[in-house]
Amino acid sequence: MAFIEIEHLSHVYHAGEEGERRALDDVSLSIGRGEFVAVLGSNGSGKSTLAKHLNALLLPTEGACRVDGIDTREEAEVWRIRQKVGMVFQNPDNQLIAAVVEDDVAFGPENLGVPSAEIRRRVDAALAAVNMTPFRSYAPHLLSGGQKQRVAIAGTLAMQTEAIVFDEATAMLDPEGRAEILSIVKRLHEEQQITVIYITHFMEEAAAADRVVVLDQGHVVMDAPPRAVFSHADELRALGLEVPLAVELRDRLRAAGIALPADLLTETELVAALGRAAESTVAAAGGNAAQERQAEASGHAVERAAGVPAGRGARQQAMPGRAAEKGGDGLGHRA
Amino acid sequence: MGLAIELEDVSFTYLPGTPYERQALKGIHLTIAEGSITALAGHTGSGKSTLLQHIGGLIHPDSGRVCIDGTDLAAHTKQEKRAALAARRKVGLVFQYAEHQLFEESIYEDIAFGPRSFGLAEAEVAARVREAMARVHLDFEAYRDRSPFQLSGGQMRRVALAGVLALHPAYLVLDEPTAGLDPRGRRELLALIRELHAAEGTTIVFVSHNMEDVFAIADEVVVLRQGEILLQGAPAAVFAERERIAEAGLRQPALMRLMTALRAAGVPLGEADAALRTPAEAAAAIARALRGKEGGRHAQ
Repeated sequence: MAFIEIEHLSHVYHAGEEGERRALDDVSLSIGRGEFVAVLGSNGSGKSTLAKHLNALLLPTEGACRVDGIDTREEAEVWRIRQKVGMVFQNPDNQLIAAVVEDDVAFGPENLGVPSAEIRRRVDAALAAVNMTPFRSYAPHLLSGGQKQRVAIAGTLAMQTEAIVFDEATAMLDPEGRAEILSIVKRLHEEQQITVIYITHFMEEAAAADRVVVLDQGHVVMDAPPRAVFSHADELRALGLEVPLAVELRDRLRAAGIALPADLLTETELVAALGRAAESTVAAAGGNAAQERQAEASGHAVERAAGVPAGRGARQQAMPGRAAEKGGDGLGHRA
Repeated sequence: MGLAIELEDVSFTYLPGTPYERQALKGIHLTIAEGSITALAGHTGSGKSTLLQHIGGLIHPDSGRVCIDGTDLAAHTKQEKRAALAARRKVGLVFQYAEHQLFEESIYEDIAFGPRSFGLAEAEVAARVREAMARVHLDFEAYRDRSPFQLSGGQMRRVALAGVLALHPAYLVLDEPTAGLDPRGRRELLALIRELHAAEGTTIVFVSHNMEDVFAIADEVVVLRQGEILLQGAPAAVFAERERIAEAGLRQPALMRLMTALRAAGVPLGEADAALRTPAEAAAAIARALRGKEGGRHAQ
């Protein structure tokens, strides 16, 4: 069984009252231990509602959410669930409570009754993991937004959570703060095998994940590795999203007749591919043919049978697990 | 062209005489021309928001002057007070996360709050609300009675902007206008700012740490570093100074970085191509560069 299992989950706000709203509608999703999953979707798509189910801040109206086999509706288990799944929210100013950084990090384990020597050890390790050791005795309000978010991450690490949910944790940060957080998230994922559920509006950040889940109006509409998801620029734009800059240029250049792999994803790949194209137009005889050989040689599938179904029926997600490995169109739609 | 906003030797220190004393602005000289879109860019703590608050008259310099159309915003005598208030009312200030300040039960009431507090008659208030909603693309009939809290983040921010536009500011000053918005909200808000500028020639000053936004809409960039102006000029020229931009804790816009990297990788782009502002223009230039080279080879 996967670490997080979401089955036919619906969430209705203000059920039966005025302003009733179905924020999630029959969502099924499973997230394995150690995965790095980015969640994309425009405002109102249900991203934050989904996130809050993962540590029982919200409970399903219908369906179920299980964390490591525990149903989040089991009231007696709430604290156990929250030890397994930590949350880092958007606003750096709303998350820190203590007057000193290390006290803030110690707050969780103290509440669990962890022995003080063990707390000391955990706090030291957690602050080191987010590069905040030098700031241990600072008052949180003297930190930058990125530093505050790092302290919030340390707070969840000190609880020894197995998964961390980032609910637009970089939205209010400057570019440097954003880069800091993303690099720490990647490192925690790689070195400590922390399961990461990363909600973001920044497409470049999503491209760093192993898997991208796209929500629209409470439904999962795509679920695949970033390379497959970002092959569908028009569909993403129609959902109010964007694609990374390298992908946008890739599509425009392909439309202009420049041969590039259809699933090219990063700026590094784009620079390398176009650099080779420039070289080969000089070196090789045979023009376009040379460019095409070139693109094929770069190791990516040159063409991908695309076609994202638009209809409601297509919103059913292939489940459970990693859709791309299951054929279909590579986006988690049932073929 | 009038000298709309002038800062003369402006210095400001937070919490003077305490252990937390911090000089946020150090002798800033800056003139913002009427009709321009000027971006104040800088790292967190560079002084950009403090500078913006001076332009909005929320705080006054410890030394130096901030003038709007030649009038000092800091009043010392009773007569000056009246002139300073009139000058300050020419500046419409849209705060960071302005939607957090919405408070009324309906969108109409929220936008009407400012014009009413300026003492306008109710008929004029109604006309201002209608016009401001049109300018931010919110249908008057459909939205007037709705609660602002049921809108998307991008729409809520547009309501907050409408509340400022309803005051008919000559100068529109925005602090991080796109922060926290989703991609669609961001795109719409940038388009809206450009539109306000194009339609009415409103002078716009905005603070941003998003260099993509700055590159997309500004025609003048002021880069601040530790309370001082490090660079100032047209975006293409300012961002071309890669090392000094890094010194300010900023990055070049992604498109400029990418075009520079492509040139270094041997794609025969011109130096000027690094200044292209949209992916469409950039793609056309790259395609031309690759074909041009090919064409040259065929001609041999």
